Amino acid sequence: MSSWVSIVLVAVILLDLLLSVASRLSVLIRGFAVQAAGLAFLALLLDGFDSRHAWMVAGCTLALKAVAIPYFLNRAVIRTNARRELEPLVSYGTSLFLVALGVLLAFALASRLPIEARRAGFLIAAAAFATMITGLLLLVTRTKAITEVVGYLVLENGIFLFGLTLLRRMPLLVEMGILLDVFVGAFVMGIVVYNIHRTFDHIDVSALTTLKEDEP
Amino acid sequence: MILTALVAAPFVLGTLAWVLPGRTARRAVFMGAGLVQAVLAARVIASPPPAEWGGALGADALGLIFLGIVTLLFALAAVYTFGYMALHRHPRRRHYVPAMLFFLGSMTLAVLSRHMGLFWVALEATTLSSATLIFFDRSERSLEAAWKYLIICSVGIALALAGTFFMAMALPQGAEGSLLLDRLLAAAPGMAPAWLKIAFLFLLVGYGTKMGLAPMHTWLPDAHSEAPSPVSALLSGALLNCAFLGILRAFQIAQSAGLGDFARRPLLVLGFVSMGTAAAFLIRQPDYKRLLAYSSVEHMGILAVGIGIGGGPAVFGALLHALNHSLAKGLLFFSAGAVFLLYHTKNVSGVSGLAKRAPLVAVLFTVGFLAITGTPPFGLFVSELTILVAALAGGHPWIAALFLILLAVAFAAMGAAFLEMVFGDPPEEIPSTEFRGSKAALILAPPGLLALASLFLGLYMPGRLMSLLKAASLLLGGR
Repeated sequence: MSSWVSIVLVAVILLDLLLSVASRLSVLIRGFAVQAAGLAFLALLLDGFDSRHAWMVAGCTLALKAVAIPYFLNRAVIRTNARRELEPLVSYGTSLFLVALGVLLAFALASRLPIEARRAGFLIAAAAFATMITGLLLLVTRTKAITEVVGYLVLENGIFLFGLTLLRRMPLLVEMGILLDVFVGAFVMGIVVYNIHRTFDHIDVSALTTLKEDEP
Repeated sequence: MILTALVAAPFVLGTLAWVLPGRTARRAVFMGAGLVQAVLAARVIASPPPAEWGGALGADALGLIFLGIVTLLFALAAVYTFGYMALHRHPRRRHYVPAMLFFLGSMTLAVLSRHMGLFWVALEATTLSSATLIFFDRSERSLEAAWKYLIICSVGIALALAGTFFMAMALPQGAEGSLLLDRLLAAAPGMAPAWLKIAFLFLLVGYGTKMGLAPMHTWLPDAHSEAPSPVSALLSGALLNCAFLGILRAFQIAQSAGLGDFARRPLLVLGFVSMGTAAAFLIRQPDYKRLLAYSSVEHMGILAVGIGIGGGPAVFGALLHALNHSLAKGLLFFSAGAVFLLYHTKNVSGVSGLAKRAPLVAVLFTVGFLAITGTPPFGLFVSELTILVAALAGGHPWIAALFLILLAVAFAAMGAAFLEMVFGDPPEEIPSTEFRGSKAALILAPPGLLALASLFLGLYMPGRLMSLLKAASLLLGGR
C-alpha cells in the first residue's frame, strides 16, 4: 500500500512540473483535475478503504475538484475565447526551471521539519510544499484571470495534501466546509472572469489597473 | 441551542430571501434578520451559554466583544440600507439581501467558532459572500475591485489554512486532539516549536491579508471604496475585526506554548508598516472613500501594535480600540454614503460647502472625523492613550514616539481633506437630490446613534463591557 502512496505522490509532483509549462488553458485545467483526483485516491490509501470518513472526503473531492470545478472553468474558457496563455510574465522554460527549483526546496524544507514517519509523512510534506510553490508561481507569473484561478486551486491542492495527513483528526464538517468553500470560490471567480471578459473584452488581469493611487 | 440558532438564522433567512419573489418580502426578511440577530446576540452577551457542537461553537469574552460589534453594525446597516437604496440611482439588485445575510451568518460563525478549521471555513465564506456585494455597481471599477478582493483574500486565507494544518502538525504524538481551540490551548506547551512558529507566521500573514495589514492590504482601498456605503461600513467595521480575531486565536495558542515574545515581534512590525503605509497614502488622498479605507489600514495597524506591545493594559487598549474603531468607522462610512448621495462624486475636490448644503450630514461627518483621529472626548482617544501609556510603562519610548508621530500625520492628512469638504461654498452645478423626509431620517439615524455611542464610550465605561474586555485581555496574556 505504501508503494501506491509513493506512486501517487510522485505523480502529483510530476503534474506540478506539467502545470508549469502548460500553455493551453484546457491542459492546465485537466492537469489540475487529475491532480485533484490523485488527492482523492490518496485520501483512501492513507486512511484505509474501510473508513467511511475517507470515502466521504474522497468522493466529495472527486466530485467537486476533479469534475465540477474543471467543468465550470472549461465553460469559462469557451465563453471567453481564451484558449492559450499568450503572455506569461516569464517564459515557459524559466517557469519549469523555477518549479523544479521549488521541488528541490520543498524536499529540503520537508526534511528539516519533524514529521511523523509512519504515514509516509516526509514525501507527503515534500509533495505538498512543491504543489503550494507551483500554485503560488502560477499566481504571480500568469496574466490570464483563469490561469490565476487555477493557480489558487493548485495552491489549495497543496494545502489539502497537508490536510490529508490529518484526516482522522478533523471532523467531517470542517473538511466538507473547506471543500465547499473552495468550490464556491472557484464558481464565483468563474463568474467574475466571465464578467471581466464581457466588460473589458479580454481577461488579462495585468490590464486591470484603473484602481491605482494617482499622483494628487 | 441558542448559539446554533444565532448562526443558522441568517443562513435560513438568506435562503428564504433568495427564493422569495418581490422586493417587499425580501425587505421584511432583511429587517427581520437584523432584529433576530440583535435579540439573540443580546441574550448571548448578557449570559453566555455553554459551548455547542462538541465545543466547536462557543462564546468566550473575545468572541462576545466581536459578536457585539458585528451585530450592532449589521442592525444599523440594515436600517441604513433602506434609505440609501431608495435614494441611490443604481438599479436594484436581487442578490443584495441574500448576500448580506450570508455575509452576516459567516461573520457570526467566525466570531463564535472555537475550532480553527471551522473558523477558517467561516472566514473564507465571508470573502465569497461579500465579493458579490462589492460588485454591486456592475461597473468596470467595481469589477476590478471584486476580482482583486477575491483573488488576494482567497490566496491569503489559503495560506492561513496551511497555517492551521501546520498547527495540527505541531501537536505532540499521542495528543490525537483536533483543531478545537480548547484542545490546542491545553496541548500547546507540548507542541513542536518549529511547526508552531511557522504555523503562527502563516496564520498571521493569511488572516493579516484579510485584516488589511500592510503590505498585504492592496485589495482593501479598492473594495471599501467601490462597495455601496452600508457594505463598506460592514467590511471595515465588522469584517476586518473577524480576521483580527483569527490572529488573536493564533496568538492565544502561541502564548500558551510560551512563544508569546516570538509572536509579538512580527505583530509589532506589521502594525507599524500598516500605520506608516496608511499615513503615506492618506496624505492628499483624492478620493474620500479611499481616505476612509486607508484609515482602516491605519487602525488595524494600531490593533496589531497594541497586541505586539503586550501586557495587560496594551492588550486591553487594543481590544477597546477595535470596538471604538468600528463605531467611528461605521459612522464615517454611513455619513460618507450621505455625502455621495448629495454630491454624486467620491472626489474630495468635488465636495465643498457640506456645512451649507446639508448641515446635519456635515455635523455627523465632522464628529466622525474627530472621533476617528482620536480627539478627546471620543472613545478612540481613550483607547489610543491606553496603548500609548502601556508602551511608555513597558519601557518602549521609541515605540510610543513612532506611534504618536504616525497618529499625528494621519490626523493632519485627514483633517485637510475634511476641512476642504465641510467648509467653503457648495459647487454651483450639482444635481439636486431629494434628501429629506423619512428616507433621509433612515440614512441619518444610524450614524447619529454611532456618534453618540462613540462619545459615550469616551466618557464612561459600562461595567459589563469592562468585565468583558478584562476577561478577553486575560485570555491574551494580560493580567
